[in-house]
Amino acid sequence: MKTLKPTVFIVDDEPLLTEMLTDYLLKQYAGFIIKSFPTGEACLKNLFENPDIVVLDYYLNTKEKDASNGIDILKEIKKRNKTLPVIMLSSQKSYGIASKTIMYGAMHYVIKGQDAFKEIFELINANV
Amino acid sequence: MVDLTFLKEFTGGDYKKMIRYINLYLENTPASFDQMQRNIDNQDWSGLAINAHSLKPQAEFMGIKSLKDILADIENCARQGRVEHVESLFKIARQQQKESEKYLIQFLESLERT
Repeated sequence: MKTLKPTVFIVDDEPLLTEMLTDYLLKQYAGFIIKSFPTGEACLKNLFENPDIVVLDYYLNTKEKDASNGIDILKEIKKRNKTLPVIMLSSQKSYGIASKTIMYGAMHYVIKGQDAFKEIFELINANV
Repeated sequence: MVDLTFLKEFTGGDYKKMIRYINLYLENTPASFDQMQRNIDNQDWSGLAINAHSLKPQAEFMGIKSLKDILADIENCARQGRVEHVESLFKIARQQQKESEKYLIQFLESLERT
């Protein structure tokens, strides 16, 4: 990791995954500053904090129906900061969705599941 | 039906964390099922697919593979318009959710006794 205290934004409307991912990342590296947001809108409002990386859920409107979905948030993040790495997260094993997210600037697409935590940490470790 | 091996390894045997995660799952899952029932009642198939999709990894984290698999089936049927199967799949999922919930509550009670 190049940055000593990297700031990681986790954007997911499921509290269980958010909490597990936060705990996992901090266990791997105590220097992380982790901020979580249940909606993309909340993430965008806080982009001024200049996170080093964003972990962004693809479906963000399960709890708040009017919340923007992950692709729209990804596009907006990239509009505001082209170089900010974004890891897209989804439990859908769809090549079409994965390639769409990469096309809009996501660095990587991770399938939610038991293996996702290690994969996300390794991506963060390699890119911040 | 419930295999807590992953959760035990993930938490490194930290029972406080296990309790926290299981409680988060138990707090949120009934509302998700109620939402899926509303999706079915309203024939909101894309809403149903999203809700089933969202619950899938959580069932996996709790080690409830059968529930995860049936949620995947519900999601696929809803997305592909094969809605004639959705209600019976949902009934099975609901039953599995109730049984696994019982198991998890008993597990939490056993942890609190130690």
